This record gives sequence, C-alpha cells and structure tokens, in this order.
Amino acid sequence: MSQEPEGPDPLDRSPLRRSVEQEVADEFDFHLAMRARELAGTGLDSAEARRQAEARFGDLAEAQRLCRELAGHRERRARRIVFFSELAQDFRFALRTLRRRRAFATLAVITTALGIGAATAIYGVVDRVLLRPLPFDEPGRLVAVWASEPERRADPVLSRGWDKVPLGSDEYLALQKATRLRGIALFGTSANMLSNGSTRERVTTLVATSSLLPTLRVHPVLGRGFLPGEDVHDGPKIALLSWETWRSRFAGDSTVIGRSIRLDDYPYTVVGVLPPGLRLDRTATQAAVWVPALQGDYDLPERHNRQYSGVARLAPGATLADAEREASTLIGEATASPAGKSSARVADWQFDQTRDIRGSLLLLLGAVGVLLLIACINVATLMLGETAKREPELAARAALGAGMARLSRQLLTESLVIAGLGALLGCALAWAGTRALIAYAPPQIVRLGGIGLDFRVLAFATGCAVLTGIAFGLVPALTRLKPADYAALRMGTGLSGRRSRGPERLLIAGEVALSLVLLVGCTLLARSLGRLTAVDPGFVPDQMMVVQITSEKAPYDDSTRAARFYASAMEQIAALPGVVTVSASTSAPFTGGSSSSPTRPEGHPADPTVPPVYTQQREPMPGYFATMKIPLLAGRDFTPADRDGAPLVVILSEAAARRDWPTVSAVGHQIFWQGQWRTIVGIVGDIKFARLSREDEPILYAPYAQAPWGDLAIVVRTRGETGALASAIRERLDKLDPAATVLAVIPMVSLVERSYGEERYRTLLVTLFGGMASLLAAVGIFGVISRAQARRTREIGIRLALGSPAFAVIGLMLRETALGIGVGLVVGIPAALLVVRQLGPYLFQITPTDPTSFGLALLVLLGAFLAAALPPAWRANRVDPARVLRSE
Amino acid sequence: MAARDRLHGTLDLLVLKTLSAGPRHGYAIAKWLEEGTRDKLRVEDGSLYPALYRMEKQEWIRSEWRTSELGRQAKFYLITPAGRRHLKAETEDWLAFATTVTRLLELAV
Repeated sequence: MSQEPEGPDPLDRSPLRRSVEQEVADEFDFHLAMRARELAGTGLDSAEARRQAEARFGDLAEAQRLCRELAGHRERRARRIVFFSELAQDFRFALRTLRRRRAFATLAVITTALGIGAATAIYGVVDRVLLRPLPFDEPGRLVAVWASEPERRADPVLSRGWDKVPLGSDEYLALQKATRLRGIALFGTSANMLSNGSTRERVTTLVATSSLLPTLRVHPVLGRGFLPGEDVHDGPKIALLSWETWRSRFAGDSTVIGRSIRLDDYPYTVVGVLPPGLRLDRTATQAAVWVPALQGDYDLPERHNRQYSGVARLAPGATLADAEREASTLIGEATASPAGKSSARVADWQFDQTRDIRGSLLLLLGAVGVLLLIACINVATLMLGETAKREPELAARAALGAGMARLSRQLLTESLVIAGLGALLGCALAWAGTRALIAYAPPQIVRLGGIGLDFRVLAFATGCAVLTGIAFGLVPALTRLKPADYAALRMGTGLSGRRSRGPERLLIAGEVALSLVLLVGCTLLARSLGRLTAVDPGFVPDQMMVVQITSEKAPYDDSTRAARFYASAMEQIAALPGVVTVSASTSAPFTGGSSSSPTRPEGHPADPTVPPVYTQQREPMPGYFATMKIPLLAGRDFTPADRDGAPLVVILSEAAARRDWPTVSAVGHQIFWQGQWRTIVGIVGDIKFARLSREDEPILYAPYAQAPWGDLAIVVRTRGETGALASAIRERLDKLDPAATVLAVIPMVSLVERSYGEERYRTLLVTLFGGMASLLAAVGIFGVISRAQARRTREIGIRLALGSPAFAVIGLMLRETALGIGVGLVVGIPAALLVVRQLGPYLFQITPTDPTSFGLALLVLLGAFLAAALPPAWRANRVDPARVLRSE
Repeated sequence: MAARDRLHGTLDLLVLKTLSAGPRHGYAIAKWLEEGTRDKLRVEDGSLYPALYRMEKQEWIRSEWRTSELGRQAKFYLITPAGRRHLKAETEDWLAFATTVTRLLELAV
C-alpha cells in the first residue's frame, strides 16, 4: 500500500463517530451516574440514589429534546465536512489511479475533449447568433415588419422573398396609424465612399428614419439623433457617426459635431455620434455612418419604391398576430390597386434576422450533439473495460469495508475527473475550433466576428462535462456493482467468470446506431453537394476574371462619363497579355446583384387588373455572350451598332422566350420593357446567376448603350493562369478615374464556389463529425475485442492446440462485437431514416432516403469495423498454445 | 423575557468562568455552580445541558469525549477563544451594571 501515504484510506468510514442521540443519552447517563454515586456516598441505597439523581435532573425527556435540537446543526456540519473530505479524497484518489492507468486516461480524456470541444464550438456560434437576446431594451417586443405578397409565389422571378417584401413611403405613412405597433421605423443600407479630408474609404451607410433610434431606445452619446421632419424629401443632409468610425477616423474628437464630411462627394453635416457596438443585425456588417431616409426622389410616395426594412415595437398588450392583422389592413389599404394588394408580415425581430441561417445552425448543433453522445458511450465502454481490469482492487476495497455506495461514488468521481479534464482540453479545442469555424465560415457567420469563449459558452461546456461525466460514470457504477457482484467482490471470488457482457453490447449497439445516423447524414449532404457543384451554370466560369467596380454617384450623374470610363477600362484590360476577350454587364452572374422589372410581350394589352409579369434584366456591353461563352441559340448577338438612338433591341434567355412565345420563335417579336417596345433580335442559353440550385429564371438582356443604368462588372476571358493578371488589372484601373473604385478582381470560379459556400461549410462540418464518430466507434470496437482477446487467451490457446483453424479463431473474436453491431444496425437504419427526413430542405436532387447514401454509410462503418476488429482478432490467432498452457 | 435573558446570560457567564480554568464535564460544572454559589443559585441539573449545547452552537465552547477521572468516557467542555472574549466583555458589563445598581441602592433617597 505504498501509494497511500497521506491520511486514512479514502474508502474508510469512521466507526468512532456517534449519533447525536447517542451522544446526548451517554452524556446524561454519565451525569446521572455521577450524581447517584455522590448521593450513594451519603448512605442511600443505589436504587434510591438513582431515583433522587433523576429527580434533581428535572425533566429528562425535555432536556434531551432541547439538546438534540441544538446539536442538529453540528451533526449537519459534521456530515458536510465528511462529505467534502471524502470528495477530496475521492478526487485525489481518482487522479492517482488515472495517473497509474495513463493509456486509458489519455484515451478517455481525448475522446471527451473531442466531444465537448466540438459541441462547445458549435454552441458558441448558435448562442451568439440565435439565442442571445438583441442588445436593446426589451428586445422581445421588437418586431420586423415586412410587406407580403402571397400571389408572387407563383412567379419564378419574384417568388423568392414573397413574404419579405421591403417597405417604402406608402407603407411607412400607412403604418403611422397603427395602434398595435409603436414607433414604426424604416432602415436600409448602402455602400458609399466616405471622404474626410484627404482619406477616402468605402463604408456601409445606414439609411434610417428619425423614428429608428427612439424605437430601439438608443441615445446618441454625443449630439443628437435625426428629428421628425428631417427624414423627408429634400431634408437636411445630416449624418450620425458610429462610435467606431468616430474613434478611428475622427480620433474621438468631440468637436466633430457640426463638421462636414462627404459621402459620394455630397456634403453631410455630422450631428451626433452613436453608442459603441451598435449594429442592427448581427449577421450584417456594421454601418459606419447613418443618414436620414426618405430624402431622395426615389422615396417620393408616387414612385412606389420599396427598399427599406421595417422595425417597430409591439404596443403594450398587443400580440404578434394582432399587430400583423392590423398592419395587413393598413398596408392593404395603402397599396390597393386593381391588380391586388399587399398584406404584412410581423415577426420577432431576432427570429426574422436569423431566419435563413437558423435551420442550418440547428442542424449542426444536432449533429454535434450526436457526436457528443457517441463520445460519452465510447468513454463508458472504456470505463467498463477498466472496471473489469480493476476487480482485484475493488475487491480489496470491499474487503476493507468500503460500502457499495462508496465504491460507486469513487467510480463516479473518476469519471467526473475525466470529464473535467476532457472539458478543459475541450475548451482549448473549442477555442481553436471557433477560429477555424470562422475562418472557413460563410459571410453571415464571419461577420459575427467576436465569437469567443465567454461565460455562457463556458457554462455550457461545464454542463456538458458534468452530464457526460455522470452519464459515462453511472454506466459502470450501475452495471458493475450489483449487490450480488458486491458480495462476490467481498468474497474475493471475482466476477470474470460470471460477468454479463450485456451492457458492453448495448453500448456498442448505441455507438453503431448513432454513428450510422451521422454517417448517413453526411453522405447525403456530400452527395447533394456533389450534385450541386456538377450543375452547369450555362456559361464557362473557368479561366475568367470578374472586375467589380463601384463609382461615386455625384460625378456619374452624367452617364456618358461612366460609359467613357468603362470603355477605356475595357480597352486597357484587353491590351494586357493573357487576356482573350473583355466585356461587361450589370449584375454579372454570382456577383450578388440582380434586378428585375415587369415585361409584356406584344399582343398583350396593359391590364391593370392583372399583376405584372417580372423578368430579370441585364445590360451587357458588346461581346458579353462570347466572353461568358453563353451560347447564342437563335438570331444575332448585340453589335456596337446597337447604340443609343438606334432601334431598341433586346436578347431574351431561353426561359424568357419560351414563357412568352411558347409555340413560335421569339426572334423578331416585340416586348415592352422600361416604358418602351423593343425588338427581340436573339435568344441565348439560360444561366444560373445567384445559386446553382435555382430554377432557370427568364432574363432580358438590353445593350448597355441603350439602357446605361447601374454599375458594370467587367468580365475577362483569360488564357491560362489568372493570378498575376488580377494585380495588373487593378494597377491599370486605379489610375483611370479617382471617382471609380475597384472593389475586387476575382476569378469567376471563386464567385461560383462562394455561392454554395454555406452548403459546403455545413457538409464539411457534418462530414468532420461523421468521421470523428466512426473513428470513435472504431476505437470502442477495438477496445472490446482487445479485452476479449486478453480475457480468452487461455481458451484460444486450447482451441488452437486442439487444431481449430485460424479463421475460426478470428471469427470467434469478431463475434464478440457482432451482436452489438447487429443490434446497432437494426436500430440505426430506421433511426437514420427518421432523422435524415429533417435534411430534406438542405438536399439538392437527392431524396433523404437515397439508398446509395445508406449503402456508402454502411460501407464506411464496415471499413471502420474491420480496421478496428481485425488487428486484435489476428493477434488472438497468434497465441502460442504451448506457452499459454504452460503458464497455467 | 428580559428576566429570562438575564438568567441565561448569568448562567452562560458562570459556565464560561468555570471553563476558563480548564476543561470540565457537565457534572463537574454543575458541582462547581452548587459549591460556588453555596446553593443560593439553584439550577436544575437538566437545565444546564441545553445551555451548554446552546453555547457550543454559538462556538463559545466546544466539546470532546475524554476519559474522566473515574475511568469512564465523559464529554468534556472547553472554552474557545471566542468564548474567552465573550466572557471578558460580559464580565465587564456585569460589573458595571452591578456597580451602578449597588450605588443606586446605597444612595439615600
């Protein structure tokens, strides 16, 4: 017992402690005996002496009751002290035994750390995005207000966002009358060039009504907010600075109020500074500058332009349903036209902001939860094996008088120590993991920026650790220490011979079933991603660069200057070596832009009672289709002759042509677009422009020269390597015009990849979890078979000596886990079928019950099984019968 | 109520006083009180113990089981540092009170 230097045996229970009751009784008895003895000294007989002593004592029962009551506190404190000292002993003892069993402890801690680390990292993101309330006063009463147009669901161009239609002046005025909503506010963002003295910088600008700050209950830290009467057409050009901009660009100078700054070369007067960290949407970039909304010509009510998000507070006592009903009526009245009217959708603001990303994150949380469960089961399996090895030690403790509860508690403490160490390491993993999560995350998560390990996340990790520790500690404690086993331990007969392997099989079954669920999930996602990336976008993105340019509005009010700029830019690029062709278009595919407006084919008179049909619109330069390699299916391409003043022409995409002229060729027909009839001169192939998974949308192309609206993206078809070209292009264009800024020069392939970044991210993570799960399952199976091999060495020796063939011995070993695996599959396959149904919305061209995915998952699992099971099984076969028999 | 408090307080004070001389078991404390007060202050044996337990809870005294002079296990009480402080403060209070009352009583009215 050399390893037990300090203190008594931790499993010892002191027999010397007496109960309070006993103590009071003993004490009183001593008193009475002493008094009786004294009285006996005066000549009384002993019975009389005792009687008089008792009389002198008074009410014995009452005194006892009082004393016991008073001593109760001491009893409780003593119990507490014993409990904690035993706990400390257990803890020290656990550390010591774990140090002795280093391999087991390392494996268990690493397994726990993987589970807890992954869970904590994902939880950190989920917590930050979905769970944490918005940092505003009474955030639960803030609601998003959108217009909603259910009839749009039928239109392929407009169906997206039919219930998230922005608001404009009409709706804003109408919603002022609402009684269920307080302080309706509109806001939107735009990108502008902020100039302050000599520095120029592209920033995000928030355009907001004067009601926004009061609605959010946010006050400027300096100066004032916008006032009612300032957010009107041609209102004063004033601006609020974000705290961060004020600190970094204006050095926190409080004399900034009243100073003039320039946004896109228009002067604005700074009237206030906003509080630090203010952002309206966690998943969006922070705005550097706020300016009043509703000031432009665009915002005039008669223009019916809708470009703002709405936010309001629910009136006291009002529910979301109340507010939505009222807002629907008000917006309906304001937008009523013969073609129909809009209604409203009112939703919890935070929920609405995270609507698109919520499902995806919960999916990841579910996957990581399954992984954590597998890790728990795995450690439980390890613990079971360890407990079996420790039978002699446990027997010794039982023989020395340690109770069953005490032994169970010792085992539980060990598992809690493992879980604690695992959580510690897991937090480190989560810290590193969160960094990786963000580095590879799609933009919505990247913008969350400061995801870290804060109190809430650490609390989550601790909770995980305690629960997992109890979960995998209880399994061996409960299954190992049945009263009968306990008796056997005391008698020293050991358990090996009569031990049930039920729990071990159950754990293996659970591990296999859960791994299968994860593996099927990740196979489905991976195959879906494969299908998605194989989609033909309708053009050739390889060997192609996209140059995104933004121009300041003021100098380019004159559209000829813009046209001149683009023409010379294209000329400069075309002269670069390695460039094959150059062209440009508004809203080039996968650049994030898209715009659409109503179109009407000839023969369809304008009918105000029918909702207009929308078509996507793009305005390319000559040579665009050739550069993009979009096939021309009929008619002709645009030529430089299709200029301003020439007959108005357009080219339709195949989907648009088929929609409007289903039976004849559209070439030569007229289409009404942007207030004028135009002749269709050609038809080109359909392309994907935002997401590969979307149906082809009808597109109308008009020559930029005849519709010079909006910024162009320049597309460059290159020969070979595109990397060096990017900096050359940037260099040429930077010198061209100071009012135009090159935002990015990116290979088209990267833009396409970015469009499925979220799918890829999700798939990558779930695949990572699936891989970890199968690794853990393999470790579990390896452990079980290794132990079986060790346990049955003698039996194997005899079998081999009696001439059993090698494969029979290997089969014997594999059978150790076969039942567990069989049960796991029987449970796992239906469970997987049930679970993956949730994946439906995330799959592209794959049904959740895809048999190939199930087959692949089973194959992976089989591979993991063989890799884990064969080495120890093979080792069993190498047993030398002679040696085994001799050693007996 | 005040009278009972005074009585408690007096008993506590006397017990602390005897323990300040060294550990004693309950019976020895009772004997000391009998002898010291020459039976003027008759305390029922049974009411001494709740007082001892109460003082133990207040941590003025603590107890341990020892072998008594007659070779039998008995519970001995020991005064704690807190008990000593209490004894000192209460003794001063008591003396001040007694002096005042005595002076008033001796005063010719």
